[in-house]
Amino acid sequence: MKATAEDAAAVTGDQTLIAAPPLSLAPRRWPLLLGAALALTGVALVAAAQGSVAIPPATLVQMLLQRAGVGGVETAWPAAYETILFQIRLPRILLAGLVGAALGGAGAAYQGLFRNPLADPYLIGVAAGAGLGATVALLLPPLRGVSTMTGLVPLAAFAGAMATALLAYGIARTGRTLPVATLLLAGIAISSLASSLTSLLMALSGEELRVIFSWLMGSFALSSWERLLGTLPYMAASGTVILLLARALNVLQVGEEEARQLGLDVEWTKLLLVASASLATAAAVSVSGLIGFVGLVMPHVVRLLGGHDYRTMLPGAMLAGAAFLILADTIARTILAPMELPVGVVTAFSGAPFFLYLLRRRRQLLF
Amino acid sequence: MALVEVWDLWVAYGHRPALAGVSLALEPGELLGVIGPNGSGKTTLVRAISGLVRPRQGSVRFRGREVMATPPGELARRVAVVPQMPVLPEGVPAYQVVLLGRNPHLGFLGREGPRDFRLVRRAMEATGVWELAMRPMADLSGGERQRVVVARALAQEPELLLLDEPTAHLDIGHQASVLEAVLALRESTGLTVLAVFHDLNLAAQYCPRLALLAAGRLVADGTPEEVLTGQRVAQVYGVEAALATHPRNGAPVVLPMRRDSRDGQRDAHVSP
Repeated sequence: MKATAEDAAAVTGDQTLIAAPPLSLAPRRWPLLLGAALALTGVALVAAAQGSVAIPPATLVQMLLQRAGVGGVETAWPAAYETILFQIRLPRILLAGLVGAALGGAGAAYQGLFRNPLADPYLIGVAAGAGLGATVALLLPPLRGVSTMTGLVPLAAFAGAMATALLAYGIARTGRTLPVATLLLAGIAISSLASSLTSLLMALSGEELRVIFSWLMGSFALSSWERLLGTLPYMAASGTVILLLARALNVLQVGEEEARQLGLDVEWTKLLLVASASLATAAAVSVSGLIGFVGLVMPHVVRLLGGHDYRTMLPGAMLAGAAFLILADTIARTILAPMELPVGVVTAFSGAPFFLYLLRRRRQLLF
Repeated sequence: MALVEVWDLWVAYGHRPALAGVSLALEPGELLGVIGPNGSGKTTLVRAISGLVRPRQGSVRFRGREVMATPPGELARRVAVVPQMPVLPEGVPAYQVVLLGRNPHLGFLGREGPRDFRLVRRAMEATGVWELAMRPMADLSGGERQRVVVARALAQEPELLLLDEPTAHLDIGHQASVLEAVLALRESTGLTVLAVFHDLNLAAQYCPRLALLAAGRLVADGTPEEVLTGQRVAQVYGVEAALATHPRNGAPVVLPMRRDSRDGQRDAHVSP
């Protein structure tokens, strides 16, 4: 194995004599990000047109333009379209996009923080912790029925996420090193602990079971402008912090000691990353339940397309996550209409095989 | 004023002492080779000077300021380190690893400008890895990886360069090219260098001054001729050795000897 790698290096070494050295080292990140943004816009428009009532694309664009204040006041479409688009589909699409961006960004941040390509919000236990926190908030007698209205669910989910993140991190860390295997095992153990507690609460909950169950499976069926606006501040704040730490994440890839020797305040960076990635995950989970594979796969997709610099990778993973989750949710609500699939089922169903395909092409998955 | 002042430095990992009362000073522009057996505290000395380990006792000052009290960013603008076993992200292209050397010079929201990219290119050319700039680290050989890390340290534009066995995985050709690159930079910019060496002969070739560590103590500090004596090598390394001088430049050369062998009697010993 070692020998073949060196042989390969020797072979490619000859080619460098022919290949011209790079003219500019300045990273070309805009084509990739622009492409992702265009894909996102396209997916969102397609998603807005699809559903039990199909809105013709031309009408859709006219409606959006009119709402934006461009174009006339006359309406050449059924009044029901207005309700369907602006009260039902648009908040749902935007929320799915926001959650996808949060999960993609948090996944990339965790992978960078733990320098582990398998880290994602779900695998290291943060999502399960958030799920437990949210379930407690939904079920606890004094909070019952109130939580959903007051935005206490996001806070409880955040507390659960923080607790699991810090617990996994604290258990795995020995002295100066963070052994990857220990971290994953600790994450799995804490995850199942939190999940079993969630199950216990559900078993004891009686009539609320269905609400919690559908919440845990992941769904955007309950999307609304209120929900969207309620979660927006958390996501905007955490997303901004994660993006600001992009260069710090690049430095962190050489390990904590060398990162410090390269001038990074490592402890502060780690704290900010854990806090913001957990907040983003918690906010995502609290409005849509546990949706897997977005946070794991999207960063790898962006890396594959040439984004090893976290300043490309992080915004790229956010855009890709948003587009992917909007697409997944559109499939979830249309493929078996009028029945709706849990969106987590769709992401796992499409994400898992894709990830296995990536694993088979190991070299491309270089971290 | 000395650039680096290490005074009565004690460092311990748990209960195991790694450095026990080491004192030495480094003048600007100096090239000091640190030698000593495995576990003698060489790497710990590098870690202490770069502010990674807190001394139990004593102090490490850079330009008169305690390194532990200096913010990492400020220290990294002046002190660069080439670790013994660098951690390298496998999928990242080599230039991006070198670009990390510019990190301490950029503000929190700063971006690399043309000057940063120029410095990266110059550093990579100095260590002969510019042609590999776009290659992922996983594709590079051990020697190439080492030279990329040296380039990263040079891109930091340091006043003090700490090299922890920078040539450990290199063949003699690449050993020479890395060290010559560092020497050239030292001559042109007045860079101060502290380099840890495993290879005594290499250290004696390149360093006008050597510091010999044994069991966490500084047992000798001086010119290679002063530090490398047969008796001291035997004492510190536990191996009998003959000291010779390099036929071309007169630097001391350590020639280890098989136990119980006498001059000219090696064959006789094998078949008595």
